[in-house]
Amino acid sequence: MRRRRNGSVWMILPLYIFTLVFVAGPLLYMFALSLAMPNETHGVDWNFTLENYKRILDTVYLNTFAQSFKLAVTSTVIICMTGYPFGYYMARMSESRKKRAMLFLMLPFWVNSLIRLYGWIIILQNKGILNFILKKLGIIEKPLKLLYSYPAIVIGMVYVLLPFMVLSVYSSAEKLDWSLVEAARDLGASRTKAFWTVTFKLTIPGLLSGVILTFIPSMGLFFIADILGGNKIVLVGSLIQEQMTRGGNWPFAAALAVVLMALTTIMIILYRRITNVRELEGIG
Amino acid sequence: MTEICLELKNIQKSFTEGEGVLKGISLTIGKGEFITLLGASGCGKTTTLRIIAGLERPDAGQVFLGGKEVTMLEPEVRDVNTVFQNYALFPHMTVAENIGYGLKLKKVPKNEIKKRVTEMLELVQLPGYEKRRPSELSGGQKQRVAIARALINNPKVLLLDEPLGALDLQLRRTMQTELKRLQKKLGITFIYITHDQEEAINMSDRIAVMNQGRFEQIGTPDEIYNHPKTSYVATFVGNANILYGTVENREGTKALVEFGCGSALVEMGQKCPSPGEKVTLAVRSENILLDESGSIGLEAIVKEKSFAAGQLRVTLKLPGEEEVIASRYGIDSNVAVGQKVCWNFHPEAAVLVDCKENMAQGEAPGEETYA
Amino acid sequence: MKKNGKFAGFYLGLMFFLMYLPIGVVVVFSFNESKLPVRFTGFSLQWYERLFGNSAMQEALVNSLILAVLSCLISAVIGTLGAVGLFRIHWKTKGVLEYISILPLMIPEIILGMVLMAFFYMLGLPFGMLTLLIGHTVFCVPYILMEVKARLAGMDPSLEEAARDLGAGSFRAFWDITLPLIMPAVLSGSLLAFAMSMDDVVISIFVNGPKLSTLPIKVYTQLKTGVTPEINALCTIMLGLILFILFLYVFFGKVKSRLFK
Repeated sequence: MRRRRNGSVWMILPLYIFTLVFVAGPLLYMFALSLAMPNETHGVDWNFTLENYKRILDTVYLNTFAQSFKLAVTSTVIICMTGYPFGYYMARMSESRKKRAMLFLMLPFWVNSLIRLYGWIIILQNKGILNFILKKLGIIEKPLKLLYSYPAIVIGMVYVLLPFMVLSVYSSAEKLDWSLVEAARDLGASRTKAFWTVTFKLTIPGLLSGVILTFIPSMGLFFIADILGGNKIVLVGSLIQEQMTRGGNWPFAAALAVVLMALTTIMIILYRRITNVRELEGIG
Repeated sequence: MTEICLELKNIQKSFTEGEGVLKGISLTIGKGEFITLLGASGCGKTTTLRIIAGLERPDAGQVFLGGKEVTMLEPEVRDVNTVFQNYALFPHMTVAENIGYGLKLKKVPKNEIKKRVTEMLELVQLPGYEKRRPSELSGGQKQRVAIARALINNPKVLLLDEPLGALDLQLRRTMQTELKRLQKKLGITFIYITHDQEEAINMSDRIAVMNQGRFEQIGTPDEIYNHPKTSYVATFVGNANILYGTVENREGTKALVEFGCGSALVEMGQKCPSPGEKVTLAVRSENILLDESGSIGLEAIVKEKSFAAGQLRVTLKLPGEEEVIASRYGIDSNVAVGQKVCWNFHPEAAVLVDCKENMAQGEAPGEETYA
Repeated sequence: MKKNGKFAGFYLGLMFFLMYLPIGVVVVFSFNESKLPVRFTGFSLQWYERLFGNSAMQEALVNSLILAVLSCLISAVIGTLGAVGLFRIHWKTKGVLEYISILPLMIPEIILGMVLMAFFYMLGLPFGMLTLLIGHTVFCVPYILMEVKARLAGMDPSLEEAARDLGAGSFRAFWDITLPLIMPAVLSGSLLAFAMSMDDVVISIFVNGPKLSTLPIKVYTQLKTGVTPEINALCTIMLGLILFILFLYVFFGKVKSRLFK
């Protein structure tokens, strides 16, 4: 079969080269690294070993994974519950309001997330605003220890990642044909029933992609746990960072990263499966 | 035929292995000719056009333009321009910029471009539309701009891919005359694609009927309509009934053909088949004569009556499960659904189709024959 | 039917309030006299003065801006060309390449940061602006690639063919027709990439090297050690700038639409 001589090859070459060298290359290197032996001062002994992976099975590290996973799940669930109605209601606004709401949603993106988190520190700290108000209202007597706690980390995670969920739900609810809901009502479904059988079902893809967009980063956002959680909670992210810097055990860090990546890949594959099945069923 | 303008030689193309879109087509087009590729969607007519334009490369075969081979040339260096199905006007350019784009690429001076754009707009009857954006135009106006944009380059051949497909009936009729007028005036070869036989018959000098990647028949509208060579052409262009029968007897150029529900006399002309031979005949529905009393002719039962486009159509069911449609103007017919009737046709009304000698010119010799 | 009830209004209001609360708090405390962000003791601009006197902070800001602009430009070129190329070319490896090139968005940032650090170390690249630039380009490319890809998918392929048909070469058709039409996507993708680059801590912290600091890294280290209200002042200035740009955008947008009506 004769093929068209292609004049567009030059366009794709930069992407090909860049992706292969700086994305595929490093990831392959990480995999190789995870199978090598650590040497003192960031060095690597290129001897094959599975020791790094065995070490992860140590309860200390397993706990770290469990804790990271728990935090990611908790944050994601809260983000789903708060972000879904957020995006859904936004999609039902009038066109002009929609635009304004969108602007307001995107604006904080432009303020450094660390600075935004710092705002929460001000609010949550012992002598902070929240405790001050609660005290004035007579709800509490002694200031609550809010900052450097588990809930504080969750607040930070939810705060930083919520917009991704909102955007994702919004874009799928926006495309929704509202006459379908009307049809359901017309056919005798109650408002709630119509929501669950039509609206919700049709916006599940948006919700799922929102879950992916929030769950995966939440496994790695070590700095939130660092800033809002003090040093109390060690997440996989913090562990990797520590192994890369102070610990100096790069192969072990690589092994941790490989496992983390495997976990997230499984998540993505599951997501693809679910959405594919839904597409096959004709609702996606 | 006068000077040859475009020649296709045994063009083959397939997009997926084994499934040929074009199975070796050949076509010679004269200068200043208006030729229509007529066929149902998926028959390969758009692919043929794209190969001529250079937007697609054939797997085998050659394209000659003005005597030179252009098979492997890029579209930008061919003296061919296309009017796309959806107009493909550049949305970010004004009407003038759209029309002048081809000249701008040829580095024609700005004043010259401006002058010729104005001329072009007058030619397509849109004077003063220079500053408009495509989004501000109606379908018919977009069409005119697309034609002007292609014609300004003075191509050897203008390719039109169902250019009137998106317009309403009224506008289609106007544009048909308009296009024909333009073509006559400019003397440019037009290759026109459509699936509408009326359009093809109205406008073309010659029609090439395509089916499944082959030419079924190439000829003038009269040949195609009145003397179809294959059952496909007969049904697609003439809405004819196809009847299968066996020759019983021969009387000069006439033959008595048995159809299973009776027999009828058919004028066969020079190639009259001998008795015992199986034949396929095409009879257009308006030539089917109904006898309501049910005494003379072939037997049938009325299955359905419908009224469409000023014609009454009566569907008859033959004993052998086949159907025949009879049509006539007006609605004054007394037949009722379920009624037993007889039908007939004049010996001259039937055309012999699908015999070996009738194979279209585009057909590669020695390949499969028509059943 | 398609209307929100009272509860929806209340809910959206509350969510937006919570979204802007920490930002508001930061802005308010940037004008606070006291160093401790506990109670508002009096209006003062001293933190702004301090910020302008803080050369390390300024240097970090400049670094961040240079980095964001450069990585944005480079990824805009790579991403846009790549998206158009992927659209035109039908190679067998195309799908795999596309998957790998958007991987940086699908794996936790920490992995990307750590992997790049190890990789650069192996290559012997000097840690600094170059490594930061590569690192940021890695996660900026997918944003632009995806935006442009989505835009291309909605574009009529016969437009480019029409240009070719009228005599434009492959590049000319891209330059005259495709590029102007995908420009909005290139810009919005770049804007997103710019924001992400300005905000990135995780990857930067791995590849910045010992000497170079970006703004987010500076803020991060400050938050970990001792907070100074200078950060509040910085945040307020940034917010003001964004609002100003937004205002200009909306204002000129209105003027433009009125002029070209």
